[in-house]
Amino acid sequence: MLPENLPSDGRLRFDHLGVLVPDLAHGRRLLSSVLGVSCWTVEFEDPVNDVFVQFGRCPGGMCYETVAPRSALSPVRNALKRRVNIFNHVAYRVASLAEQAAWLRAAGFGAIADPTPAVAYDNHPIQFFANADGLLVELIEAPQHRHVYNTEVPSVGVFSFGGLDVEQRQRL
Amino acid sequence: MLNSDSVYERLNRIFRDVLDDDAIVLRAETTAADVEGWDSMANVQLMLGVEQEFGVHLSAGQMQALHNVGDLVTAIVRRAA
Repeated sequence: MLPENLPSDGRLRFDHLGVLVPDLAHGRRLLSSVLGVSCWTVEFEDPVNDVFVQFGRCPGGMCYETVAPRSALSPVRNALKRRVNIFNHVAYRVASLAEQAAWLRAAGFGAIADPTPAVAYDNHPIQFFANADGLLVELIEAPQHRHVYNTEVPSVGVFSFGGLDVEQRQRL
Repeated sequence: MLNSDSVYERLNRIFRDVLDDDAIVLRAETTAADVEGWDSMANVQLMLGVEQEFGVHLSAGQMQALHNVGDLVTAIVRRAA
């Protein structure tokens, strides 16, 4: 049974699980070897949100977003330094950010910041919300967005990253 | 009408609880950079605590405009009046 006021018509569409990584190359190695992520989008530099991000999909269809700090002031640097909230947030695409934000606020969430454009979503707005339990939710006002995966990276089991030299690692 | 001393006392309790640090002592000039663990996620949890304790809601934009704890105390006293 759905909680009262929970949108039940598919307005919240799962997009990704956000994972914090020190850099995107490290993220690709980690998620490929541990979670079997084998398809990747291009890397995105997001100066507005001060992060680098990349999306990866595992054979089961799960989508992960690796999020790396872009500067010393990046909002993810503190959590990375403290090694907390590494599995960081769950993100949903919505048709109306304002409408779903109101629903989240009614459910006890607070907005971390005002909506900001996100490069990875063609500059459509995103907004993060947290509740008292530390659950972090991202809303993306781009209901029809689809990630474009164009980089195949073999997962562990096909080959071991341990045998690659630095140049090979950087190419992944 | 709230007075600043009681607001600081209640804020100290909220901050210590959210950030799990009993040594926190807030002053007007205290900023997020002075308190270990006061990041954007903790900031929302602190503001939810403020809302529950004082019945005062601050939007994300209003939170971002606060420069230090002194600004927060002023905002709480004004809005609770």
